[in-house]
Amino acid sequence: MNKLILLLGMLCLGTAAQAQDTLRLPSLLSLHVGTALPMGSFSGSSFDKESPAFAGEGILLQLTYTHPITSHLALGATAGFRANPFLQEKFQIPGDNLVQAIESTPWKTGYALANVQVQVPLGEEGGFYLRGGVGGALNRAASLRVLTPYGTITRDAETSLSIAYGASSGFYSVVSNLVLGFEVSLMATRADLTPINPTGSTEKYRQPLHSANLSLGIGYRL
Amino acid sequence: MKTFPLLLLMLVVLSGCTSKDDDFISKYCPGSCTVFKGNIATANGTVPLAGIKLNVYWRSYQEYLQFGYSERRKAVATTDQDGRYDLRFLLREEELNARGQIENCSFRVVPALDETKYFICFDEKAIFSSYDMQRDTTFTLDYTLPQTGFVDIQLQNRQAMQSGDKIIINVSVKSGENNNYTCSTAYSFSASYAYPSPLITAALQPVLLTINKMKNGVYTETQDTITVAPGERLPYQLTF
Repeated sequence: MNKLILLLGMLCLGTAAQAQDTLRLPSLLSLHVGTALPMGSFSGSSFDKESPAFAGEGILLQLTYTHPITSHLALGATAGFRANPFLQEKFQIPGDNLVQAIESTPWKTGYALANVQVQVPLGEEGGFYLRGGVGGALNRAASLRVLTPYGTITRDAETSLSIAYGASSGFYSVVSNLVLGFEVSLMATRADLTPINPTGSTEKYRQPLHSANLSLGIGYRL
Repeated sequence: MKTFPLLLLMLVVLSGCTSKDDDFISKYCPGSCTVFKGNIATANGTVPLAGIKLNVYWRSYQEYLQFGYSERRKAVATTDQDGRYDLRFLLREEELNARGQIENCSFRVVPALDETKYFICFDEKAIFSSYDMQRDTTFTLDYTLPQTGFVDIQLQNRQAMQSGDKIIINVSVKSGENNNYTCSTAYSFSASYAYPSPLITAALQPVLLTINKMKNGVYTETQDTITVAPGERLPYQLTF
């Protein structure tokens, strides 16, 4: 993955060197909507882990502002929200007669990132970009409540703050003042959680909350 | 003529009857739990083993057909720095009082071990197994898992052995629940056969070697005690 990002970066920078210096992209405000695919242990359902995350494919909403500094470099900010459901069907055996009722809330992350963007204009109608960002995230863990004839299993929705990182690549097309775009991105953060285990004791652990995201965007040229 | 394809189809279907599930409802036991607790140690039960993962499995198999089985993992725990563990799980209706049922079942507590580092007696990996488990029950299970060492038998004058002569070395290792179980394994040597060296034994604890010789129709028995370090290959010279 690191090699891919490096390659994309070199491609963008190499192409940018050949682009016209005089062509300057506009300031953009865009809203992206897409899917967030949990990665690694965030999607895990390992029995060996004390509290696997059981996160499934979720939704992503992202508002991004980009202001050009030069023809190839822009600064900006992103505010985003991601929600990934708790996969109940992986938690229980199919047709489980011990489960009288089950309810859960999704994993949620709201985040804000400060961005640096390298961009490659393709005429005045659009361009490619590579963006990196760092900021903070407010995470809310999934909650779970399972009612059985022998008692209730509960997992509380803990809230935690964490540092967040983002990397994305995409293209956009400007039509009049409207901007249409497609973006592939990674969002990485880790939440410190302290669940109560079945014996009543607590064990602090750090849950990675990484996702790969695909989104379509619509924006406005400022 | 139609019977054969039908039997073949049944064989194919039955041979695929192996399923494995993870029972999270049991793992996060909400009440009426069955509990195993105790400690895992090595070196004659004197040195606690930290970081040993223990699994509880319920296995159901068809007693007469034996074509397949279903296995359900009920709980998992890892020993702490003092070798202590706490396994708790919830028994389902079909898992209760399994003895005597046509579809026979059993519970097993199995450590996940590096089998090159631990002495496993007769390939029995479970440290506990039972047909009869009940809810709201606590078992205490302290168990010794010896680490593996080796004895390199160097038989000095095997060419002197005649037909009917033999040496049998019995290796006795203390292990198991409360370190009260003795695992004995016999290795034989004769004019025509020599058990491949080295012999597997337990490390960090005294191991009793009982050496039985049959020479010219005369039987003798001697005993020796050895102690090896984990992974050590101890040379042991033996004269016929």
